[in-house]
Amino acid sequence: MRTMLDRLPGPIGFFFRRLLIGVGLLVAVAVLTFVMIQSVPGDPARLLLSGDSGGGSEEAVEALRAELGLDRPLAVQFLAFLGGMFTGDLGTSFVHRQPVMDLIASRLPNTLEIVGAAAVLSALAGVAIGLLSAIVSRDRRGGTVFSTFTSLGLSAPVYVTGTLLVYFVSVKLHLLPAGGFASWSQDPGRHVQLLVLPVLTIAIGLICILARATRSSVLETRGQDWVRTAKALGHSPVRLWLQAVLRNSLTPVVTLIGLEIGVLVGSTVLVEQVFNWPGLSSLLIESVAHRDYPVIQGVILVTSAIFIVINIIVDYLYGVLDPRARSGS
Amino acid sequence: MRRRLWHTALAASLTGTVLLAGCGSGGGDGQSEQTLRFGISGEVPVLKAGQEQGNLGATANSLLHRGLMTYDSEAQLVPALAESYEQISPTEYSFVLPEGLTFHDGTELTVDSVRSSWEYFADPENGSAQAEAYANIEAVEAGEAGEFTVVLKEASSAFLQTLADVSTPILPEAALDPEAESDVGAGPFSVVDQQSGVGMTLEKFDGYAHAQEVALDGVELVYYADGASRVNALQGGDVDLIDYVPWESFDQLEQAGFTVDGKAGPGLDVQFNFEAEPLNDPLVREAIAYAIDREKVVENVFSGYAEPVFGQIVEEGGEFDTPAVTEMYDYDPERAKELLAEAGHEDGFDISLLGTSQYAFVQDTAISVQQDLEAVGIRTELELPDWPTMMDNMLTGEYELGIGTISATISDPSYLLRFVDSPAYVHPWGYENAELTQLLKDGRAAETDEARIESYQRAFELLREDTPYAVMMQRQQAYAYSEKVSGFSTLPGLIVFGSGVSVAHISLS
Repeated sequence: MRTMLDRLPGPIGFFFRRLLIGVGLLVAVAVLTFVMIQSVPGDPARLLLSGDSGGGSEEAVEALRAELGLDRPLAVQFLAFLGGMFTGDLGTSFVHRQPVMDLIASRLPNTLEIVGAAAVLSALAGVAIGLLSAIVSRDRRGGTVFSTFTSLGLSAPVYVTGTLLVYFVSVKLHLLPAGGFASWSQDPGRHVQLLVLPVLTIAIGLICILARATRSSVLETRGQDWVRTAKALGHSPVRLWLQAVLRNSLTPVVTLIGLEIGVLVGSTVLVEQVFNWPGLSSLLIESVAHRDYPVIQGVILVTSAIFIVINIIVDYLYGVLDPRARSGS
Repeated sequence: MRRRLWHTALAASLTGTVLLAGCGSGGGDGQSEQTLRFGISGEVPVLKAGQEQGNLGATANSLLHRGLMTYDSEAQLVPALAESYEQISPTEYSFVLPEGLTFHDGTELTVDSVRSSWEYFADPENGSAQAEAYANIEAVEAGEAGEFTVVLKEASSAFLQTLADVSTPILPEAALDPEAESDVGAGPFSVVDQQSGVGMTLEKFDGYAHAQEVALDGVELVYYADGASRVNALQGGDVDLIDYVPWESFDQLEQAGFTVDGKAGPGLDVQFNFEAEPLNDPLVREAIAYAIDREKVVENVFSGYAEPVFGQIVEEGGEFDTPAVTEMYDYDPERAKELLAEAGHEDGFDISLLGTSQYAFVQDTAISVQQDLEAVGIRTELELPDWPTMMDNMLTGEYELGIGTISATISDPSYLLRFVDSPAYVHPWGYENAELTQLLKDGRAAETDEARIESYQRAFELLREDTPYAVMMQRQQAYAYSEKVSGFSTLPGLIVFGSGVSVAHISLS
């Protein structure tokens, strides 16, 4: 297999090698998830039959266990899960009694929407702020001011940022709703309103990170020989900054965006709680609380797949931008 | 040039915010003026006939379903689906069903529906916590013009309360299957739409037995698992009513002009594993009951919004609300030390205390109890896993001391059967007292008030002697609402989670 892949031309071979590693990682994630879930105490059947102080009769618990397939040997349950993973059938939720894929399909776009919007906003704002700050305040004092503000932004935990935004923007000023969800098809205006605060909350940290990275990269690049040459050739300031400086400064920034998207997905765990946004993370938290095994497994698997795909894309882009990375792989 | 850039950016941001603030529908402007927006503390589970499914299940059931009986705003039992009822003898009741009753799906609700629902609940395999109570029904005999008679095997002081339990309403045949969802009922509202993780849309059911008394056109249930988010949603005007108000927000909401309707509801106790040394010694259990500073728990954990309980939880002002029942112990660390010395543990002992970190109030209560026990020489190690793990450990006896919750769907003292004779996690592991169990059953089945009171009082005496658990407090369980809402009332005591029945009495201004 390695030989076959090695024969493929540079970028394609690189991509397929990464893809193969990704599939291996996914199987490893599946095994780990299954083992970990099974080793955590808590019987889903009992939990489902328990009210605030309850616990169903033994007959009821046994009947429900059989209904949920929990009476099958662990090996059989695992093989069913693994088989389902390759056929796209991740089982049925114990709590929602719906196919896991349907649940994920209904929640995943919501998470991707805030992550995507936050990534785009961060990339645009972070690069713009970093570039501007490098242009207008490249002295030490300007650097200190910039560093102070960005440190503040990236050190504030998302739940603090989110709570403060809700308090001032929603509770005090009544400018935007405190949280909730309206689908785009139902009410596009309200959908956008509800999207603003969660996106801002998770974007602020990344904006600061990207602004810092862009500023330092731009400051380093602007001193390079080719910039001086471009300047000597009479390029306009806009062309000089955008083409000669910014473009050559973006490689580390692109890598950073790729890596930080993972952090953004992680941040949604808290943000979806604070803003009551029905995404994948809130589904995961809820499912852990109910020991809804199929949903936990499904969500972890899909999230891992997203991480792996993002990393493959970033590796690929990095390889395209810098061929040395490809050969190094 | 630079200043102009900043001004332009600032103006653009402000314009954007103002435009955004105006571009949505405002979360309800398109709805009827009599549509209540109700923020509840999480997603409604898939409803299952007869099963207790926590406070969220109870809320949904109380909006969608009714039994023959229900509670009014004063928490008095009143007919719901039944037009009227009469107790003919200690073991016989007659009910009248109004003509033309239907379920939400249009199918007819008849005496047969009542019979089949109750038969379903009586089968323990179907998971009803009230199986024993429904198994006490001997026969349902249909008469004329909607009248029918219910014959019990033995008298039951809790029978009518059982019929008002929101988890055991009258359901259509299709819902009476463990694999079926039971969201079609005959209650005041029916389901129009539900979105996973978002909420449910309900509309008034015109076929409800008391539809003419329901002012609302519908209810938008919105899920807010996080307490602070729920409070923010109410304060921000996104919803009109919220459940499960966090205790730390009571003052904040009242000061902001919202009504916080809290009633002493579910309790917390320390329960003992009878198979763990030295908790199998009644002196040690009694010592622990004396060692707990309940006032401290109330102040520090519940910001004062709870009632300390020094005995058993009974209906406030009821016939068992007496010092012998409600003041079994007090806070007396010296007495606790004496009892420990008498039990041969003057130097104390080491033990574990199981709680959960998932609910801050349980964790903080556990920490408070740990300090109290330390003060009398009992060194405790806290175990604070998540809620499912805690429940699993309680259900399998893997604990020594545990923080348990006390809630019920009936207020009759026979609710205590769950604590002394059931598979529920609130039943202290290894505790059995056949005499106590029989007394509680006798009290429930007594045909005269005298016999009932005598049985229950003796049962309370046995609970005092055994101390299978030490109740600490009844926390205030509150709903909060804006000034638009009128007619809502939180039900008092252990039935508080059924307060959703009061939504049918709400009107919006």
